[in-house]
Amino acid sequence: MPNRERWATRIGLILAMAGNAVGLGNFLRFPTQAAQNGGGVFMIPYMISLILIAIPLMWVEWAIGRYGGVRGHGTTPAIFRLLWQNPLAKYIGVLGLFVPFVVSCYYVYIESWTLGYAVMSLLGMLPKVSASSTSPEVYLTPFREFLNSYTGMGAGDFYHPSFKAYLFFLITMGLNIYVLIKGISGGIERLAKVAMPLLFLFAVILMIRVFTLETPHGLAVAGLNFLWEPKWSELANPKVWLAAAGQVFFTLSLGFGAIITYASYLKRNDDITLSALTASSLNELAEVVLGGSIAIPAAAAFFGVAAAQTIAASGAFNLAFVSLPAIFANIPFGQFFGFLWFILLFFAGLTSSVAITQPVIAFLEDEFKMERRMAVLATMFVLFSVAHVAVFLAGALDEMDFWAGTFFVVVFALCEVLIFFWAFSPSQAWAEINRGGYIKLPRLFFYVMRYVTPVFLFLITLWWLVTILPGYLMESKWTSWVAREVLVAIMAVFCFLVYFQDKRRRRK
Amino acid sequence: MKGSALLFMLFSWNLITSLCTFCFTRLFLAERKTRKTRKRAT
Repeated sequence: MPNRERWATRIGLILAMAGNAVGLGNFLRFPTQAAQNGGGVFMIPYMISLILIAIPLMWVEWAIGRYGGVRGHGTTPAIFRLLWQNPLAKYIGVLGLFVPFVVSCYYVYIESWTLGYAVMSLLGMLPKVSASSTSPEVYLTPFREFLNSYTGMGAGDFYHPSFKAYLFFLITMGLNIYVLIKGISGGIERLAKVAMPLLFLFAVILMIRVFTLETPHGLAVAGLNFLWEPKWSELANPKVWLAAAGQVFFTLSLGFGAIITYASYLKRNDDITLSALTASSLNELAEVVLGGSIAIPAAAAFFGVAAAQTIAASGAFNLAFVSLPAIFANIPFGQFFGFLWFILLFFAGLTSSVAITQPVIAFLEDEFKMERRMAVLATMFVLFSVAHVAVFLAGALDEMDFWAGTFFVVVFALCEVLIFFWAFSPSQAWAEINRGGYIKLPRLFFYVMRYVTPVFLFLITLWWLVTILPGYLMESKWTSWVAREVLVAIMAVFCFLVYFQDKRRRRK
Repeated sequence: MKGSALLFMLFSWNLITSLCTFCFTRLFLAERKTRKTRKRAT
């Protein structure tokens, strides 16, 4: 049996898996999506999608990972080849390296903003504007300008990030390297055991503070009303259903390949069914209970419901880096609460970034027999180099996020479920999921995984192909095409590595 | 707070906290059983 690293404890594994899933999206994307898609009614398609897509796919990914891990492989090019004896299988598996690697190239940079803002908030370096009767738009302007000067994101074709932004990017890279070099149980698991409890603690403190906010514009309750009040007519809107399906999909970090790699460090008869469900439930707790109770209620209490609607529509970055700092600037101990908010986001980001960097490292370790230190340094060197495209080239970050972080994620998840429940034996796949399980899954889920989940994923892919893709390609600037060429080059390099490794394996 | 909003919020919160409680309780019991079995075997 191949000698691979293992998780030291069950709780460590669950916290690491939850850390992978809990990211910036839990605190920023969920409330804005819910507010814009029917309020309380959003939770109906959300819960249905959770049961029919997300949790079944979670079990599939854990099972694929454990299946590969006991055979000495932690990434999908090799695992798909084991599951489906077809020359194409390993190249479909390349998506399991491409997606997490490209996402990590810009995710680490955004993560560094949260660390930078946390430190600057604590040191009182963020803008100081006294609350007056001016409109929210005027009041938020200094904070928007501060973000633009920090990231250097202006109107031109190139960004000019500030020295501070680049410095915090280097520090964040260093922290990621430090955790990854320490290994699975010594680095990632230990980080999760510290960062996740702190993340939940900070979120609860912030939630209590937001619930006790009182301003001339209103109370946090107004924000909760705005977020949770059901708009029943929206239930018939297919856009709401797709938004909910997309949200549960992204919130659990499905289709990234990271869960598969993490699960490959399980033993042959380790439980999957209950552990995967526990990690998912922790993620949902962070998202629905905590994520929905901080940003939007705070914005509604401070600026009023009408302005909160505009803020929610202006996107997640505006909410995190413009609106929330503006609120904390005008409450007692605001510097401290601002620090809590950004360090909470940083912990959410760090536990996710080490997870999405791990697949390429595991690929180099398992398939090329590299030492862990060497594999980490090689991966992070290339990641750091490619990240400069997102740091300096206008529109490149959005481009990477669309292709790797949105489109191919769903395509890859569809491939996973088709290969595991159709190309591989369905009965064997079902047995693989249930082996060693602390709870036995109802047989109904066999049919859900085999028929319902793939159809749902196919519909999401089709919807995007028809509605989003044509417009997206039409409105591209030259910088977007440069970013696309970089993505094609990354894909080509991974395909070559897989081809080279396969050729070497057959020669042996 | 409006009744319908409160209903949706509490329903969602209860569903998720119940799921969390169920999972951790089952996990704790299963782990304890595994430990006992292993101890008895040695």
